[in-house]
Amino acid sequence: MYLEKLTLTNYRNYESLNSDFSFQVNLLRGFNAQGKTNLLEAIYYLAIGKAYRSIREDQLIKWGHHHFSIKGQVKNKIGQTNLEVFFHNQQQVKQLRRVKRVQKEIKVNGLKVGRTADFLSNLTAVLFAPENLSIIQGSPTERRKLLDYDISQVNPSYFLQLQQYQQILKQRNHLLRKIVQGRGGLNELEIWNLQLKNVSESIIRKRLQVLEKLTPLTRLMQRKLTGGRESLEFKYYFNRKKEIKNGDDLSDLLDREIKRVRTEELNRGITLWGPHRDDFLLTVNGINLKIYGSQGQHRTAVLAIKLAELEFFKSESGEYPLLLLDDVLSELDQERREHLLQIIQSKAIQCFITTTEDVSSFWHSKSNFASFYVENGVLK
Amino acid sequence: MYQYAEALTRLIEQFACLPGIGPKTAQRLAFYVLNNMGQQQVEAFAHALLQVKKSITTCPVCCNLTDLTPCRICQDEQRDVTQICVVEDAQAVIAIEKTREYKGLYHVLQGCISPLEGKGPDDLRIKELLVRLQEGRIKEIVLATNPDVEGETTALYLSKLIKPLGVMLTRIAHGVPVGGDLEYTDIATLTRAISGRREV
Repeated sequence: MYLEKLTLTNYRNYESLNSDFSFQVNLLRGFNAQGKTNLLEAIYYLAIGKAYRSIREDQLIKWGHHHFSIKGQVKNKIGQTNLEVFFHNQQQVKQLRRVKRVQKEIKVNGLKVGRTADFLSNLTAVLFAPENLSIIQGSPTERRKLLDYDISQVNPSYFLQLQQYQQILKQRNHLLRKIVQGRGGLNELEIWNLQLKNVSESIIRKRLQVLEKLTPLTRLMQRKLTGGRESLEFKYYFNRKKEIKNGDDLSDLLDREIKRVRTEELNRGITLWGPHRDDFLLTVNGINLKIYGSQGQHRTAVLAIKLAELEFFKSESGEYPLLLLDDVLSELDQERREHLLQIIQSKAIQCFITTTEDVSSFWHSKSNFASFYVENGVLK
Repeated sequence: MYQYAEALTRLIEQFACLPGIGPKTAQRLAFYVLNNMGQQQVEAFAHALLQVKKSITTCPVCCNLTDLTPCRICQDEQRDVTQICVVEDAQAVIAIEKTREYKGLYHVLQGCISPLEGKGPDDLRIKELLVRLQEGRIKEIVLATNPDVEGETTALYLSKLIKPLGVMLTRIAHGVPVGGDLEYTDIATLTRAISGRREV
């Protein structure tokens, strides 16, 4: 799929932007702090329906204004879709009270949609930014986020399950605190266990299925990038300890875990099991990459995952997603860079690349190639 | 500094206590009462307020709101006394009544299980429901709590409680609104509709 047109109003440092893009390569050149990443971020917003990097959405508004909007015209195999996000944040002093009115509206083809889930999968995108190394180096939260964002884009009902999970978790934690404080409630714990278990089971199952699909794809990309020297693997850890695989009896596993942590839960008053406590690990030739891998190995592994995601999205939705590369060309050695560019050029993938230096010489063919110069929120 | 006359201030304060009404609207309503409503109309209004408090009670059988004891539905001999439809509140009873499709009795839980709002099973009218089940006339319980997390949890709780008693238990179907367009149905509803599909 392609993003044909993007319109930004008061988004970050863009007061007003209206731009058409090439169906293949879009190079965004410019000095630091001119708005290159902001542009990628705006595109990614249309893909995941919210701000990336868990930034508060009102911080996306250009300084001194009260609203922002992102509009995108997408062309996919079905036809043309118009996506629109409008966010309004007005602080008023009303009768000596500070009233904060926040309003977020999302529209598909001009029609307002009530849920973010209905907005997803109209535009899918894979983002590769320097901070993505946190997939390997960072906390389990980062890794879960990678999985959750990816699955949500191609499978909106997974996104709904996550939302449902959060709500049940909130209720259950509240109940546990109530029990800890001795205010009763033990009689309904079993019912919340059952509710949480049901959603947990389908979330974990979906994650395992996706990892199973991603594994051979990632391994293939990794072998291509490293000349067949390394073999990469994902390992999913239930409650961060027990390795589980697709096809395992999750229901039984969850039942036993619920029993095992019961006493501790009733002491601490928080939920100690469920997909929000799971993690997955990357190993190369059987060795934990987080601990023993070099910085270069980490970078190659993340690149392999991202390239595998392209294929995964294609297999799930029948179309390649957009590829957003934030400042990564300069970090790759020549062999890897050429491999990456070759993949982009050989497939019908629209990509947006930010860079501080002129890298247009890397492209042999200049058809379907657009180069933009970004300066202080203006594209030239 | 002068303020409004005592009586007018009191009335504004009273209106402002109501949900969804701020000081500005309260003032507008108070002035409407003063300037635009006749003596008779004001008396009817005041009477209605007093009357609702005086005459509306909870039905000791089904826990619905009523002005009779037991309520009109529980008294109605035309109704099917072997069926009970369990709902969260009185508004749901009226909604289901409008269909004229359901002829059984009701049971109003007066809420749902929600630890966040400090409501557990003991705060709901579940004991009253069990008493009714012990009478032995009931053959079917229809669980019609809301299709959200809290409503589902309440339904699950009740099913665990009632299932061993050997009464037939049903849950209302979730799905696409009639006369609606599939294209414009949200994903959450459609997902449910598909997983709850039935053979024709």
